[in-house]
Amino acid sequence: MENKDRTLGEGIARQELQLIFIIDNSGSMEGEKIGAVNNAIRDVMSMMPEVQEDTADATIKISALKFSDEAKWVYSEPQTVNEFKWKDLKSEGGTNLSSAYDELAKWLCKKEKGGKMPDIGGVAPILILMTDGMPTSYDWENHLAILKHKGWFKVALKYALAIGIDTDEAMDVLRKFTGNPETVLKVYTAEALRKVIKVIAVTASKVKSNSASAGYGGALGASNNDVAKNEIAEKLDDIQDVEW
Amino acid sequence: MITYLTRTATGYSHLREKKVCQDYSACYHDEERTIVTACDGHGGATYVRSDRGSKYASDAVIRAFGALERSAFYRYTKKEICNKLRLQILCEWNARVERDIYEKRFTKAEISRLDEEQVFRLKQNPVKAYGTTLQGAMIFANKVLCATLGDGGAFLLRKGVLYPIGGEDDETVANLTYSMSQEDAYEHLQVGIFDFSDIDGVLLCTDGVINPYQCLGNFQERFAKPVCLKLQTGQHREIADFIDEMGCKIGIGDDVSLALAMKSGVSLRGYRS
Repeated sequence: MENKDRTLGEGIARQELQLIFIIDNSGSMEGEKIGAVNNAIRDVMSMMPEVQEDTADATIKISALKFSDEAKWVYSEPQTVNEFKWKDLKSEGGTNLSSAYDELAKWLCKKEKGGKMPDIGGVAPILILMTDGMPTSYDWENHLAILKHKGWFKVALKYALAIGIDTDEAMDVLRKFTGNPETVLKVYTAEALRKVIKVIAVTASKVKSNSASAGYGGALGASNNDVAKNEIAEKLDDIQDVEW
Repeated sequence: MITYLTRTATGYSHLREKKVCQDYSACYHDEERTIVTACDGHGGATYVRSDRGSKYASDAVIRAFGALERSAFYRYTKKEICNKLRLQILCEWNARVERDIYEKRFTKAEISRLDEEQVFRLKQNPVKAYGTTLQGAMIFANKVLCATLGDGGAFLLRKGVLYPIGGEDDETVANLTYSMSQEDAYEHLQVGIFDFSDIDGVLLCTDGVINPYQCLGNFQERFAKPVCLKLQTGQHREIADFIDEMGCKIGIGDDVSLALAMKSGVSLRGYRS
């Protein structure tokens, strides 16, 4: 049996920041909507290596969860910005938001409990939900209630993009996800959708990865999410066909 | 005989932003007791005096633990002693903080980075400015007494294995933690008493030390075991140098504090790879 002393300094890694896209690819997203989402994510990914290079404080990891009749992760593990290659989504089936919330709840557990979040430390993730209508799963509120108990969900920076949604009932679904009406955005055109996704994903990643270590820790309830939200709000002012 | 070490180093994000170190570690040792602490003042914008908060937390542990007499173990149950210590630590900390607030009003420089709402909230609840976590331990009367609140690590050491003190809490993820400045701090401050005869020692650290290792197994193998080996073989300087390097170069940028106390001459078998 090996019987040597270990050297100090091995096994140290940077903090991990996860950017998670939750994408409705049900039949109603067909055509321009899903095309705009695909283009936007490809755009974001082309910029992320630069964002990663600019920060020494955290490693950015990307994940995508698509949901129609069932929810499914595009990659089974969070990917670094260089590993993540976007494959265009096709739209078909219903809008099973319950299944998406279940998958997200499993993902947002510590690794030792079967999830994908670090057991110790880590940075509050960024969640971006995109959908164009009411869920077809009637019990989505029960599944959201379970998700809301997860510590990582509570601290996450949450945005929801309502793609061409006009009814209050459908907007309420998204407000309940973010818990904040100011982070639910109505997007009316493909071009606006592309710009909005880019602004949220890139700005939030920059702010949060650059303040991942010592700048913003504190008692429960405090975080750097507010800084990211303020910067995003300023940039969204310049985009037309968006309402929040 | 007890061998012990405490060390704090400023993290590179604080060095970069010219901020003071918000961690504090300390030790007290006499012929009958050894006390070590590692406390982490919060880094958020409103915690403008968290460097003092962490020092006062460390002082509070040393004062409360230092006042405990051997006879207490005959007169009270373990639970009663733990509850008294929880209360004493909180009272000591709050008394120091309130005196500080009274004697030293917030200066313009301290609140210059805050917006109006943050200043208003700080004036309503000035104790918040001193927010900190707390990890403390005392080896005394063949027992180990530990106090822990908030993130970071407090572990008993036995044959190279780390045993976490305090219950796991899924709420305390990311950089968010419980704090001495919360109104319900008493609910979250845990004090435990353990038999020292079965234990090699105790290791305390702030989250800047433990977070870069990402999981407990990695932390045990790559940090705790080599550090314990070095302590037992008298390489205190190497440990201190490594903590300094972790703060300013190879860690996650956060301030780092380590406090370690062990029986001298324990078997090193379990601490080797």
